[in-house]
Amino acid sequence: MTAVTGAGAGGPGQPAHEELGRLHIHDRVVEKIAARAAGEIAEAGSATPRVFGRSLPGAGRFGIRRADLDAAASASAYIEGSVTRIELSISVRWPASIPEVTAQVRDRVRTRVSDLTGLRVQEVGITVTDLVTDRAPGRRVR
Amino acid sequence: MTETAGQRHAVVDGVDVDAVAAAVRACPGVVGLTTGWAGGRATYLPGRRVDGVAVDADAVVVQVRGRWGVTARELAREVRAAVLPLAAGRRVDVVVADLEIPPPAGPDGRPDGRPNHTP
Repeated sequence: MTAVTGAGAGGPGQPAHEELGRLHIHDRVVEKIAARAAGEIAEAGSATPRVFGRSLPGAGRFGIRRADLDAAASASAYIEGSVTRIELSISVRWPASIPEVTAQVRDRVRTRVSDLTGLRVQEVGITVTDLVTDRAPGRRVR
Repeated sequence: MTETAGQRHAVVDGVDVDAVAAAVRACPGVVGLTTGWAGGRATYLPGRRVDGVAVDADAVVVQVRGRWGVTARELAREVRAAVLPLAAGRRVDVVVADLEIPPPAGPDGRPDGRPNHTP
């Protein structure tokens, strides 16, 4: 192990933030946090798979992965300076209230992203692409 | 550890990039160093490359993959504390380029999937 000692927490006579260095956060980091945060809401799940940018409602029949409450939602994030905008695609459990679920998701995503990254979340856009039932619909007896 | 025994440390403009890489990897909030994307930051040396560490005129840039649940602020603090003594008077810029794959979400949406070493 290469352990480097010295320079404890903070450091003596801390210079201004900018002198110490900058902190950049990549979009992908916010996307991962947002997708995971959305998944923490039980009523929200992954989006319908998209083919060429269009959701495919009957995709499950062709053996393509379908919307799933246990899978993570898909997220895109755009960071500008210290502000981020997030776009989420989710599915919602039938028959949960879509406004309630999206409000919960938005709230959770906002909290998690700002807590973990320190970025200000300006907007969380949510697209609900599907409603799913509890039973895995594609499951068949083998 | 990826370093091979007897490998000479490379010094770029007064900064030992191998020491920087080792110091960053030793930070608890860091999973690893990464170039981030194709053509991302790295130091090119004869016959090898140190990913995720670059020495600029006024800054040492360190690109990391962060541990899940560690705040960016905490991560930057750890990395800066570790690298500043090696930076030969330069600024230390921290880039959180990626995160490790999150642990599976807790059942019924409890926010419990976070590791317990958060501050």
